[in-house]
Amino acid sequence: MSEQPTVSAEELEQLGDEALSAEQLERALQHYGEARRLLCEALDLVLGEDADFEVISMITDDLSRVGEKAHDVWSRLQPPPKSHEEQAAELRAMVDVSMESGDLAHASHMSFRLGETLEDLGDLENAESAYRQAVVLAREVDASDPELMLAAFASLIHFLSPSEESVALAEEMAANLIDRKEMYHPMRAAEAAYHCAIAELEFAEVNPHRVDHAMDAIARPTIKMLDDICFHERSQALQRLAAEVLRGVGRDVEADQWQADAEPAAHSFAA
Amino acid sequence: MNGLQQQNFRVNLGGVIALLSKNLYSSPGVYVRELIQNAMDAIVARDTLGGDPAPRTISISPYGVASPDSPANEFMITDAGIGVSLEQVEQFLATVGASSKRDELEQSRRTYIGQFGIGLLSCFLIADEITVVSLSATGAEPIEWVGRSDGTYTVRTVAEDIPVGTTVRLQPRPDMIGWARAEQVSPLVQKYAEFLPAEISVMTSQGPKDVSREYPWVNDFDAHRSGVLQGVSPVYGGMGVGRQFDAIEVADADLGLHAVVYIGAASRRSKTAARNRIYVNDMLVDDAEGALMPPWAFFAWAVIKSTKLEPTASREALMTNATLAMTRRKLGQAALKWLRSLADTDPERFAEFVADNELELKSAATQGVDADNLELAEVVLPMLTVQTTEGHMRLVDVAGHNPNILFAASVKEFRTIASFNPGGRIVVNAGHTLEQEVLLMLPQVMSGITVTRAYPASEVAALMVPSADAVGEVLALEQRATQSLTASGCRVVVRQFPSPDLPAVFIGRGQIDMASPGYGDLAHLVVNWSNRAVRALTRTTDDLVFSRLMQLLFVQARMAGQCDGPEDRILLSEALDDIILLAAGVDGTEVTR
Repeated sequence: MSEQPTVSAEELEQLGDEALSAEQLERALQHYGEARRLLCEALDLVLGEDADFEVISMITDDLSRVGEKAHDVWSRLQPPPKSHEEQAAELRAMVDVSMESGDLAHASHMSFRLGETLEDLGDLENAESAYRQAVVLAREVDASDPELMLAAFASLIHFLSPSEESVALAEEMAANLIDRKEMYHPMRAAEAAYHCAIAELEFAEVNPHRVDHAMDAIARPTIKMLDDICFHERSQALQRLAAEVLRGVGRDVEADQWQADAEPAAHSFAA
Repeated sequence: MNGLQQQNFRVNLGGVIALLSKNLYSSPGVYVRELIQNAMDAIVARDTLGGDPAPRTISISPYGVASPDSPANEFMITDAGIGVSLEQVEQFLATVGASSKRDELEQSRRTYIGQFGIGLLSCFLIADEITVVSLSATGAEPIEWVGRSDGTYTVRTVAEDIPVGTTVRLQPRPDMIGWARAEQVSPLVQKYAEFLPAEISVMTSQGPKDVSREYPWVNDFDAHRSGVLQGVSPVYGGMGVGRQFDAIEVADADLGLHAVVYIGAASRRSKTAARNRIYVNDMLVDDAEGALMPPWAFFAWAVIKSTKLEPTASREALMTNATLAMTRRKLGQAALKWLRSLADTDPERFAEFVADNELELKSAATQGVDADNLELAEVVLPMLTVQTTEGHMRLVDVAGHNPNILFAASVKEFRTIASFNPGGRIVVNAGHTLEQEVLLMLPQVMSGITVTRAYPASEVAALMVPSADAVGEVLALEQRATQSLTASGCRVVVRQFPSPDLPAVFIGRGQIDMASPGYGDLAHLVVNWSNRAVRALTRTTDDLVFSRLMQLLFVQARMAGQCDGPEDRILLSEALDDIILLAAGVDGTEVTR
């Protein structure tokens, strides 16, 4: 009976390095994997024996180094990521297939993802078109998928420059998700109000006569709504945005107050 | 009082326009439908003048798309219809409620789509100003009419040379731009007007896109159905409606009806995609779908092409009248006929359909009392599969065994009966949702059928008593056993179960034999004379052993019937202790006899 040759983790790592130099990636990955297994076993052993810290940290250093090498090789073995163009073509095809099969919700999801991809590609005209199509479909899907309404509308609202239209879209979304019983959920409603408030505040920044309306009629109740369900990060983000808007229109004193409200801890410390 | 003067109401026109345009319609998108409708009616009206037929083209240039005739910052629609002259402007464009089609309405309702003279107002949903440029086919000068949402308008003749027909231009308000862009306009045109007998094109950044097509089933229904059966999703308004189980053609010349009723596949039934579509004079009536199929026909939806149904002013509902009632009836009948024919010709597929829709079918067939419900029940109920003491069976087969169908009203009672009665009388489990309703409705839809509730006691009563030559042994067993269970207040009777497996069954209440009236509220332990262990008990001479074994049998039967309580656990524990001690005689301990 032949005896199994014993190879140490160090030797396996070296074999892996050699295979890597020879561009034999799969073999290298195999050696590194074996080395990691041996190191893990060794670590279990020393942990059970209450070994000293130095030994443990030596093994964990080895483990982490071999792990990184294995990950690098694994990454090189993966097919190259799809280009944005390929992703866009795939998403377009998925929109068409979903439309034909009647899965309008999926078509809408794919459509705003297509919008994001085209936006990354810098094709803003077609990105806008895709975002708009997602909204058209989300309107069709309506109460069957309120999350979709939130996602599709929010994507288009934030894509568009602050305008009457972005505000109108935000109001339409909020009216659906807040006022309609079949679509209402406190967290979703607060999220819709949050996006609506952002649209209002951003539009107010370029239309100073709307600032008071945006602050008092929109932002304040939305912040309360967000705080009521413990979305404090969101409410603070909104307070900071409100401060920016106020500063942008030269109302620095109010802006300081909103900024201070957004950072309660820092404020009390400074005081 | 003398000299009474008749006066007119003063109307705030701007307010009326806002009221009509913003409250009449459910979505800003309807302006597309109203404008196409006006364009189509104008084309039809031009045909009535004689001469060459009007070009049946409608062109739309949405906001954001620049075309030779329309800048990018406006929405435009052009038709080659009859047009309007300066005189007609006053009458038709500037008078709310006047329609050029009203006079001929009664005699040729099928010819025109619009009827109320308010469609143009819907444009104020997205724009504050409507510009109409038109040249009448009757030979007058071209005109330009500009109406505003405050109720004012201007009109002038124009010198430009324009073709016969009408162009409407809108500059959408900044907040409504999205409703006038191609991404929204194209699907709206497809949704409302893809089947109009005209060539409708929508300008896009890639060029004009033709929207018009024929109903997918109108020329060759068999080909359409074949596609549906192969899993091809029908497409309406540019959107698929998912896989359908089947499609049925419905035509009735008297009702002006040509339709397809789709039978939805249960797993893919989606309210979003597969909903009724009603085209009146080939234009979709929005959101009227609830009015079409009878409520029991949950499995079906229809696409109908009608020339006689009448939409309301908003075109978002149908007038409730005899035509609608007869159309509904016709479509419901078609769905029922399909079900009946499927049951007769393709039992396997019918069974698949029933299995997919069982709960909904039970509900639809048993709720409501109209004739259609009854017809649905007649087709569906006998084919439903139920749980019986003989396994799963169709109701029609249960009735074939015994026209007096027996049912247990609760799952617990059914389990008790099924435990001692396999191979005996067939009893149906009606303990689940709607099963009793289904059974109780059965006599109305299957002639000669009666339905009776079975109780565990009544089923015991139907069991055979052991043969006469064993009567001595049986009586002795009954007496000894009843005595053993005196403390539990339970009477023991002996019967012959169809199967020898079960030794005993506990019947909590009910009269189990005619020979012992007055025992209706007494609990019974019914022991099985065919069971080996029970027969062995009769040979036990030791009264203590017999008594403890009977107590064990009693507790076991109560546990099987899920009616045991803490007292049973005590009895079980005591009886088991005694049996062990009697059997093993541990340490010579004496059991108190």
